[in-house]
Amino acid sequence: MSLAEDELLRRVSAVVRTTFGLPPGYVVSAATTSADIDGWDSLSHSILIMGIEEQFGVELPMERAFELHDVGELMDLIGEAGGERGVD
Amino acid sequence: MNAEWIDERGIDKPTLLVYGNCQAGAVAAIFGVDVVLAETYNVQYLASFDDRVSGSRNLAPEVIARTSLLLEQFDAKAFPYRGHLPSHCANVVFPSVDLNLLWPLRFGNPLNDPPTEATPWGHYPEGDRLIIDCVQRGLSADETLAHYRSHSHAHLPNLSRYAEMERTRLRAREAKCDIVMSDFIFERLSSDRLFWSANHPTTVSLRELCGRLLAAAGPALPESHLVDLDRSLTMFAAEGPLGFMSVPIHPLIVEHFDLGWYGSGDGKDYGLRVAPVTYDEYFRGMASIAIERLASREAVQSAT
Repeated sequence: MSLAEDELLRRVSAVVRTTFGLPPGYVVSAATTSADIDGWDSLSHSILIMGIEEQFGVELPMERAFELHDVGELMDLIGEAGGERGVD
Repeated sequence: MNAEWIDERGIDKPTLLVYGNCQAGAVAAIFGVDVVLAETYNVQYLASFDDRVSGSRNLAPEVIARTSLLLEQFDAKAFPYRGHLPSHCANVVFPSVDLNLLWPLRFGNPLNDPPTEATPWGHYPEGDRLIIDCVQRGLSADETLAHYRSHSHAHLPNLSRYAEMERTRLRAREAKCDIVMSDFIFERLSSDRLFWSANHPTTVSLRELCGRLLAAAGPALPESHLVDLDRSLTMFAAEGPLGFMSVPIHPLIVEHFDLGWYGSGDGKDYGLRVAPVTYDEYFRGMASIAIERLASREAVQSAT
């Protein structure tokens, strides 16, 4: 994982932890899925996406945002939406 | 969900089976008290989750084998007995009726009180991120409330964007269902109270859901035109089957979505079914329990 990807994951992880009330030490990886985290259901997924948009200053394509399978795909979507500027 | 809602008397009748979360339980309860449906069918509810009120139900194989109509809520946990259904069983897939739009700070409360018989989900299963964050930073209940009053508006998302997000979420799910509800939800949001909490619809929403299910069942439910939903709903408390808890709505959200039906004093935590509480009282109560829970956890940790 490159430094930029590492930083991207760090910031995505922070939003995931805040959204779902996870303890600071909880490890979120690119392979983390909704099934791994209590409370990550369809209702809270939209809050996560809103948090990501705010954190990275981007608007994600909504339809695709609801088809994500893991944090790695969310990171890809952030990159496609131009969110990589947030990790410079 | 009250166990007595489940009609288990009609063992020889065809089964009308409703599968899903607590909303499916409410649908089964409403259909179960309808004179025509109860006379014709053995109306059964199967929970898709760990239902602490009605208990996890394992339906008898003969009940499943007699199912003529399965009303199946679209759920990550698929209906587990599909292979046991008779070949003639009709199936209507319906969406969960939920909306987070009015409670964007909602999350699963990590500092809720433990379940009791009276409060099987604790008092505040629907947590508020900002309240819990304040507690975790060591603020008192009064300080938490004061911080909430002065800072919570800054934590709300762009509500117009969020409304589109929620609409998209509902439509994406409805694409996999036989009926839709998002059109109704967004048409009526400002004029009617549709939700007590993010996933507890009011009687208004449940009535619409039941009506659409009856229409979608078509020939699989030939008695549907005789069903009297309004009469059935009078069998429940005024707030409906799922109105035992009501989460207050942030004043800025009330204003943004022009929720004229909303009153400032209609919050109810789980267990305070008789006495609605104000917005401040509700969040003070959540903070107080969270402070107790945090202290209790820290005491356990320091002891070990």
